[in-house]
Amino acid sequence: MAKSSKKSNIILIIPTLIYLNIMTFFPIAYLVYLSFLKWNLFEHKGTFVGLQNFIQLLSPGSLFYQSLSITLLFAISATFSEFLFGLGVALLLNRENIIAKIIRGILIVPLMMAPVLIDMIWKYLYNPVLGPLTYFANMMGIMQPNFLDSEPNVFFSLIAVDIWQYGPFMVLIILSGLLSLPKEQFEAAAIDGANSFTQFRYIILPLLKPILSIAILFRFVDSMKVFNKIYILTAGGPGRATETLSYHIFYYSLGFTYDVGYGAAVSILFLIVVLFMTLVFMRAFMKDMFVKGRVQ
Amino acid sequence: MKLTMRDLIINVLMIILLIWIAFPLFWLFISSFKSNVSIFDFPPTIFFQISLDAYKVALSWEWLNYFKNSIIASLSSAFSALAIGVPAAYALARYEIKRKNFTMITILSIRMMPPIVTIIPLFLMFSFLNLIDSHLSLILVYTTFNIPYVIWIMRGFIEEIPKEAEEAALIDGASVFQIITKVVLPISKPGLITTLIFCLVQAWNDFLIAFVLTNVNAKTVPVALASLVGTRWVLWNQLFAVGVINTIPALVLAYLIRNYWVKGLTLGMVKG
Repeated sequence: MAKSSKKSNIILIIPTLIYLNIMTFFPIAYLVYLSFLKWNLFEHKGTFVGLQNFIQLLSPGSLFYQSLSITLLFAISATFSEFLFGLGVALLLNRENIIAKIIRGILIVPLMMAPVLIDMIWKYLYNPVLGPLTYFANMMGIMQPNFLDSEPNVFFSLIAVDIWQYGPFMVLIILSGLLSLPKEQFEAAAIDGANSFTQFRYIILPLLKPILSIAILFRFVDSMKVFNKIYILTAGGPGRATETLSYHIFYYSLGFTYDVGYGAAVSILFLIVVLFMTLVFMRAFMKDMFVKGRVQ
Repeated sequence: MKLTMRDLIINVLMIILLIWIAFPLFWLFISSFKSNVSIFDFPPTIFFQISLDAYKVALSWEWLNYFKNSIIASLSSAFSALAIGVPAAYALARYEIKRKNFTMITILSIRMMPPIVTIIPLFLMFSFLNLIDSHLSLILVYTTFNIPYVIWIMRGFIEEIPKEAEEAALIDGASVFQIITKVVLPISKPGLITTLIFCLVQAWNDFLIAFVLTNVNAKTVPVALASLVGTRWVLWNQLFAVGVINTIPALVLAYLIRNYWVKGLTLGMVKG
């Protein structure tokens, strides 16, 4: 627009920049400082120990590696299963049908409920003493289903909750993608004799690629951050089997040892992992967005 | 014949799906009407004497106070985020700005950042400032996490409206702020409401941030709910009654913007 508005451009953005700098970059700078300290929160002050926290957590066999691999395992399996669920359900619901309509309406419910409440409902459903799912398992002859207190059951139980909670996110996005597909191409393909599988593989999937990348990016990043589910359902257990990075950081800095320096060092590595993966993913699959800030 | 078989399979699959989605919601809802005794029945009962025990607790002063805290935190943070973010969204939609993409991606990375990473230094910083367990600390942090939503969603909506009205207003001598408040915002009302609702719901449902930053005075509903679980005898009916009440406003708001769910969920990256 007009040249005269040059000054006001800056004025419009400045509040955001100042606010976000104070509220994120400042705490992160403080986090970097904390990571060089040995500081138990019950002591008045920390002592400077240089890179000792990082050396500790990068040494072979450290809890950090263990927690990182648990986090990645959870994030990859949750994202992958939600992707398959989302694709399947979206294709199923992409039709005029009364049940499909009802389901499309209630899909938003899990996304609008407090995540903590969802975790509680499932904690009740899985409850070994009075949970309905325990009762169903008993009816099928499994006397102690151990949904949450044994490996590997606990992973499947957590992922089932995650699919229930965030599967609808994938479904809604993929459905909106399916609706925006150009109809002519299908008619042309049908005339050429393409069956529904070839149509799906060679027409639908490539057209949906940008939308699928966005959905996967959001789900992957968000499932790496998983905290509530762990806190409510397993508290990191059994043993350390489900201690994801968010929970690990919380547990060491504000829960168990109050060792903020160590927590800060883990936080920094976690932040680097998450942001690095986000950027790599966006560069690989969302070039358009990198250039124009959007897809389509 | 072949077609009907296919229809049958599709309908069966849809009914299974409906049960999968509805079953936890159904249990949440019916269990909230169980009495303090029948909630412990095993096997769990579907038919029981309806009781309002749980709702009496959920609407007691203690819980109403948590609801009040949740309302204060989400309303204030949503409106602050709009006030701070909308002008920036406008500038990013309309003007040539140096390093625009870098700015957008940086703002997006705040949405992607794990909250646990900033919440621990913020906890310490707020402790020095004596702001722990205050509404202000919660509002400040929620505003931070809401701003990326405001900027990304609103920029998308603003880019979709034609520039002519703004150009005419500019020729009439209107200032940028007048253009935003009098021309752009009225046209992009659906965008504004969508953004507001996503911000509200995000703050309303947050657990981690409120859990670290509050303990008594500013405690929100999700944190109060979670604190029930540690105890040995959980009165699940009370927990679920609070949960039902907590969910209703979010669902009403979601219904109002039913055409914009996908846009909101993906920060405007996918046009729903």
